Amino acid sequence: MSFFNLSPLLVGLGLLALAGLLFLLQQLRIRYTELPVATTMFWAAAVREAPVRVLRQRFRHLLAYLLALLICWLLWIGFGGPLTDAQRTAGFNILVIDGSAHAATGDIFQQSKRQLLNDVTKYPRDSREVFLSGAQNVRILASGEEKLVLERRLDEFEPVAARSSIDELLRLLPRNNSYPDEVNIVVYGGAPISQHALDRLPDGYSVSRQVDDLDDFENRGIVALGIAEPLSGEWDKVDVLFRILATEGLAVEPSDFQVQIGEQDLAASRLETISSNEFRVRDVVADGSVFSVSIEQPDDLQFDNQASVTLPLKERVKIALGGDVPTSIRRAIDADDGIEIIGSGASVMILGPNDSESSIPYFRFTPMVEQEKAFFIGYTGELDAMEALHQSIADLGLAEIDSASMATELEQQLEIQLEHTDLRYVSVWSELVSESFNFKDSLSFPVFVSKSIRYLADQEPWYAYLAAGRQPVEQTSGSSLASSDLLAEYAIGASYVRNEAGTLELRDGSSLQVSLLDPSAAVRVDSESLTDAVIETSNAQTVWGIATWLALLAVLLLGLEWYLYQRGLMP
Amino acid sequence: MAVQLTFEQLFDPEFLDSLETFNLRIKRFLRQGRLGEQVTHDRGIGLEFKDFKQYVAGDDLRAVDWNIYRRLGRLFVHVFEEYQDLPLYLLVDRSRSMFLEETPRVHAALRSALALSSIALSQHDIVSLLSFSDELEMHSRPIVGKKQLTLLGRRLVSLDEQEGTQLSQAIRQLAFRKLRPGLLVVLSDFFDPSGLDAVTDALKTCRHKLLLVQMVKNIDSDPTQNEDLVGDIRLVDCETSDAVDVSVEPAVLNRYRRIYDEFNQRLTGFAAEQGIGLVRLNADDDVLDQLAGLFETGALLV
Repeated sequence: MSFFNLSPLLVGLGLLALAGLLFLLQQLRIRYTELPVATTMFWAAAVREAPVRVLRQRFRHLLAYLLALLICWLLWIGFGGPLTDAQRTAGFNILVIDGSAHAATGDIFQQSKRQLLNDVTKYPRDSREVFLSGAQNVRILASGEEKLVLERRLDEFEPVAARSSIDELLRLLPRNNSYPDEVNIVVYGGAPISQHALDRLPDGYSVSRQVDDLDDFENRGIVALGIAEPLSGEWDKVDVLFRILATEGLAVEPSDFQVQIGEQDLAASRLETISSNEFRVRDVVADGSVFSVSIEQPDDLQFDNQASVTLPLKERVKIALGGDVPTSIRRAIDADDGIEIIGSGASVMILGPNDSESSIPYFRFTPMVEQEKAFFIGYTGELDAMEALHQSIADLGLAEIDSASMATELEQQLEIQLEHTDLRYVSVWSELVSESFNFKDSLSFPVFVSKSIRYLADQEPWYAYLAAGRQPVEQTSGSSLASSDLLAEYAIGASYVRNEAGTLELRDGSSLQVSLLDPSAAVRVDSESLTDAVIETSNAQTVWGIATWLALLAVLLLGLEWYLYQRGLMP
Repeated sequence: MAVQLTFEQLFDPEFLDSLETFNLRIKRFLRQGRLGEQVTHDRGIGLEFKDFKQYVAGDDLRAVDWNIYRRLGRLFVHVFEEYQDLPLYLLVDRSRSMFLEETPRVHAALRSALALSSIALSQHDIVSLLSFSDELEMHSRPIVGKKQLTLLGRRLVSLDEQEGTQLSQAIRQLAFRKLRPGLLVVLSDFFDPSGLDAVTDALKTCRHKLLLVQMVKNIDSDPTQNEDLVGDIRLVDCETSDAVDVSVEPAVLNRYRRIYDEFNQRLTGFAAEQGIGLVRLNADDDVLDQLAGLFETGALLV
């Protein structure tokens, strides 16, 4: 038990009590009884030889000392918070109140709070903790803290539009070495717990539930909202898909929801029904606006009635051409509407074998005699060489090249060489793109050219979807090599979006929309059924604890000391 | 605070009757006074035959023993004992220490003074009553005759409580006065803040024969008899209000007893060395019994 865990009121009361106790001791020890005598001169001489208070004197008043010592020891041990064997071996109790979107249904959260506050006093104070599992797992009552603290802290929390993080809590708890072997976890609320999370718990851990979900839960919820490259192939458009689930007995009709792109409502004719609960909007202009779906019918959970995604902002890549650009490359560039050839202000330079060097990222074609490897890539950023190699194969479209046949035709091995530089470049054997070589006619050739130019242009990535608590998926090529870390400040680990739905402000001033998109919350699926917890009232809690008894005994001894002192039976 | 002794309490006829058989005598007395009952070393014209001596010129011819002259042919004269009165000076301590506790020392001191006065007046001596606290005070002209004992008793009970004890200063003041030499009886606890040495030095300057009556109580030598004297206690001097914090424990008690015994031994040693009478009267015990012990031979010889 730590004094700092006590509430301010109890700390204050404790200080007052100690002040009172010490005052009483002062009364006992310091205030002399005055006695007029005629023989003071002899007493003064006797005291001069043996002063009243000196160090290193023969021990005086042994019984009085032992009595005071016993009082102090009782208080000290009492504040140490000793436990009985029964309390010590009863295991540790972790109470988890669900604060995720699951608890925003009806009055489940209020029920959970009431039940939790009622139950928390039934556990030994030093062997229980309380966590709130909302957007994050927060310990809101530490071992030894008072219930009053919990009440105050719980008032600061409300359910949030977040996925349940109880699974994550169950994963982390066994790593805490301060817990004993026996840990009882009680969940207050209907948040789902995966079987996988339960299976990973070590022996000695048990999980039970106190407050369950609504029995007659009725809800429609948006559980998926994502962006994909358009089937039409238009460079400046995307297709948007979304899925709406409903609990049993409810149907999902287009009339139940509304779609907006930016501030504009979507025309009903553009909505394409894929299945009974999946919908698509094709060829949405990728202009960076927000695509929103909202369910207008009220139901039991509001958090999943609205979902948004920020559309990518697709812009043409501006390039400049050297005087010696191979014809095959020029044709591939002309065929790509997403690339614009300009005279100045280009972000990428395309260079032929005889063109001079460039001060901006460049795509160069070099004779085999001048370049050892077929592909020579200069990359920037923090990636090490091996990571950059793997990323380049994917992001430049090299994986789609039939390298074996090309190597056979050239009678040369096709190898990639990477170099960390300050200026990006991609240098390719000019023979590979010559008119006499088959590569220019392959399906992978324009993809390679297009992806390489976009990699060199260093375009910002865009995300297929951003769901609360789920890993984002980047969609642009070259983004990994572009060392984009806009989400880094929100990340825990590699790439992790915060668990709560809402608007995500990026460091460059832009923002992204994060939606709940949680099927388990929308229709209560994947929830592991747990037994209801049976909380037994501990004897140690219904009667006073050891500490209380020790303090009481100390007070009684103090009274005894006062009694003896008053009757002159002790000094 | 102690209860003041009333005249009726002090002037107890039974107590006074018990003193009838007592005499107060001094060993050596100067011939200055009137006729009394004190035997002097002088041989004179008294009634009691003492000795013979050879006649020298100037002797009273009426004292010549003519029978001896007839038998021996030499002149011898009768020598008679000469009796004189004794000036008795009673110096009573009126400081607060004499009035402290339930049976204060002053009660015993007043009874002793009355007893000594009664004895002295009955043998035609002169009694003077003096008291002291911070200063010496003389209360009346010398009293003569046993009938004046009542007057003396009233003066004794009128002695009320004063402040401190300045015994050495009082004795020096008394010595400075040109009083007829006599017997100075000092009734005090001798707790002079200036110390016992100052008191004894002052006593040495005194021309009178001295009888020191030290008023003691049982708690002086054995403080454990004081029920209030336990534990950690603050002792406050009844005269100076000086405080001493004491943890009453065996070691401190032993030191106190040793220091108090040394005080008494020094006073006793001084009296023995100077040929001074010293009487230690316990105020907690009966005064008459203690006086009877002193006068067990019928007379107290100082």
